[in-house]
This record gives sequence, C-alpha cells and structure tokens, in this order.
Amino acid sequence: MSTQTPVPEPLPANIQQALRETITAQDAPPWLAGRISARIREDAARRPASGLRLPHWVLAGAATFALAVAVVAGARNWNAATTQIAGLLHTLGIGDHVYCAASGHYPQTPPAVETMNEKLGADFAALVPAVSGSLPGYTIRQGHICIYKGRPFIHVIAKKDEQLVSLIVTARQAGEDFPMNSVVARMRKDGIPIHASTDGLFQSAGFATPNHFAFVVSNLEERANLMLMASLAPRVYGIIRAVAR
Amino acid sequence: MLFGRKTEPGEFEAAAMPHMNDLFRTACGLLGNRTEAEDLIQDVYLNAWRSFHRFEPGTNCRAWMFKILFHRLHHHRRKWYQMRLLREGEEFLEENLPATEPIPEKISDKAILAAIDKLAPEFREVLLLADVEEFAYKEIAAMLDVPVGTVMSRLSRARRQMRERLTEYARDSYGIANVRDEKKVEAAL
Repeated sequence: MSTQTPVPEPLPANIQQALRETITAQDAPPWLAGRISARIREDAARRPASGLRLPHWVLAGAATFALAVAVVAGARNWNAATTQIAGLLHTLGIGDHVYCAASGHYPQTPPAVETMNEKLGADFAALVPAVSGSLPGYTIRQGHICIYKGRPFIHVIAKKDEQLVSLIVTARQAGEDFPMNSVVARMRKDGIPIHASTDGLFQSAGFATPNHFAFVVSNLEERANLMLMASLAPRVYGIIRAVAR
Repeated sequence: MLFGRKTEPGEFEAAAMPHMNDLFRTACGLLGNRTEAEDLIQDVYLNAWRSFHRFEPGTNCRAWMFKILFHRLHHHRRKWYQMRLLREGEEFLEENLPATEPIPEKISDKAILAAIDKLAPEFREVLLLADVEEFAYKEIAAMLDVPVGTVMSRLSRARRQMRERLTEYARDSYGIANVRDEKKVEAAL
C-alpha cells in the first residue's frame, strides 16, 4: 500500500495574496526590539564571561562527581574534626576535672572568696561570680590554678549534693584547635561555637578563643552540661579575651 | 561538541533581530492576540540567545528562530491551553469532503483573520509557515518535529478549510444565499 502523501493543492492566488497581506501588515510594536535587546544584555551580564559551554549531561555528571568527592572528603574531615575535638574535651577538660575535682582535691569547707580571688589572680577572679551566677543553689568549693600533666589550669569547682561541676580554662598550645568549629559545633551562643563530648561518666562542653580553651565538665545530663556552658560562654569569653589583651 | 563558541549579544542580535517581524507576525497569526505574541517573542529571543552557542554560523538563522518559536509556542500551549487534537474520524471526514464551493475573489483582512482563527493550531502553523513565510515542507517538518508527509497533509487540510471558511464568512456576513454566484460575492465583499 502506498503511503505517499499527495502534494497539497495550492490556495487560490487571491486568497494567498490576501493571507500574506493580512499577516504581514501586523508589524511588531516599535518598543519590542529594544526590550528584547535589554533583556539579552541583562542576561549576558548575569552569565559567566567564559565561553566554556558543556552539555547538560557533562555538567550533571561533573556535579554528581564533585558532590560525591565533597561528601567523602567532608565525611573524612568531619570524622577527623570530631575526633580531634573529642580528644581535647576529654584530655584537657575531663582529664583535669577527674584529676582535681572528681578525685576530691578540694577542701571540705569552701574557701573564702578573697582566698579564691588571690589564687586565681585578678585576671581570672571574675570567673567565680560568673559560675555562681549561672548555678543558683550550688556552692563554690574551689577557685585555684592547678597543674595537671605539667599544664596549668584555671579551675573553679561548684557542688550541689552529688552534682559536681568544673569550669576549666587553659592556654592553647601549638597545634591545639577546635577545627571546622562552625560546622561541627554542637550549638552556638552569641556567635561562639560550643563543642561537646562525653565519656559516659562525665560530660564535657567547651569553646576556644584565639589563646585559650574553656570547658565545663560535670556529671550532669549531657544537655544540661551543654546548656550550662552556653549560659557561661559569653561572660567567660569576655573575661578570657580581656586577659589576652 | 564540548566547547561551544563564546557569544556576544551584538553577534546574536545581528543574526536574529532581522527576523523579529516575521516571527511576531507568525506568533500573532498563531495566537490571535498581539499581547500574547509580544510575550512569546520576548521568550523566544531570550531562549534563542541562551542557545546561540549551539547555532552553527552559516546555516539558516531564520529557520532556527522559527524552530525555537514553535518549541516555545508548544510549551506555552501546554502551559495555558488544552491543545485541541483532531481525532482520526475527523481527519478521515475532512479528507473525504466533497469539492468545496467557489470562493470569493476579494477578501477582507477581517475575513482572513476570522478564517485563520478557526483553524486548529496544527493547521494554522503549517499554513502560515508555507503560505506566508514560504518555508519548504522539509524546513517546516524540521521546525515542528513531524514527518514531511504530516506537513503536507496538514497543509492540504488547512488550505481546504480556509477556502470553506472564507466562503462561509462571506455568506454569514453579507447574507449571501448562494456563494456560487461569484459576481454577487465580489460585489458584496
């Protein structure tokens, strides 16, 4: 069976003429060319200057690959960062808390405020009222500088019944940092990234300034410990930064 | 081609803007509405500009622009209208209609526009491309992404309907009882 389409019969000449004249009489409005030109130039200004044009499948493939690389690299960085942060929270924060507070190296009778101020020195004496202000009902049991593994720690200990809380400040040493802190931080308080970790028995939350670390370590619930660090962070940060100046 | 040409607005405008009036007229004829045609033509030019790196210099820019016009028109229709498609039965009926009545010799713009407006979109497209813009069947087939045979059969039906509707228009508008009388029609129009 033939499927060839017959050639269409032409329009009568007068109809064809009338059709052309009618359609071609409809000129575009004078402003249209200007508006098109303006839109093209606006679009050109937004687009990159590069002449590189890649097919969509290449771009999609490249984007997928880049995303996969970023995910793998990000996961590795994330793991490395969280490992390093946890290490500092444990070795410095929990380490000094266990050595000095949890092991009972504080007097049974709270020392006088003046005594603690003297031990802490003028720069860090303000940490005591900071802690007592954030922990109503707690007693300040110690305010001093202790040495743990050869490293000095500013240490304020507060206690209420079986709950024991330490505020610990120590100077940062070379290579110590909370990396990618804006990404892996547990929370932010007034722009300060706060990190947290636990060893199952003690909770440690802390932040870094350019020269110091500050930790709150306790046997409170993990979230309560984190929130206590958050409530203290702005004031403690200000005290530490004032020392650095 | 992984690396396309770097294109400048001036280069694009030099190649594409001379065809704006042709595109606009066709858009008006297809849409029957100047405002919609103005919007469509802006959309066509913006899309053409963004694809201009794929245009091969030396080829037919006018045909390329018309292809984009129909691509955007179909997008426009999918978005706003339910496209009216002819059923097989209707096509068969139209192909087998008896010979048409004689048509009037003088025809007003109003009659032409009314007749075009009554054509199905797919018939209107081929009629304007073939009989106004004078594209070849092969070029029209490429623009509309249909076989050449489809272009020819649509054009055949479009022309037949134009003849019929112009005759109807003359009869309805001027109260002519028998349009076979060509002198009467001519006098009336």
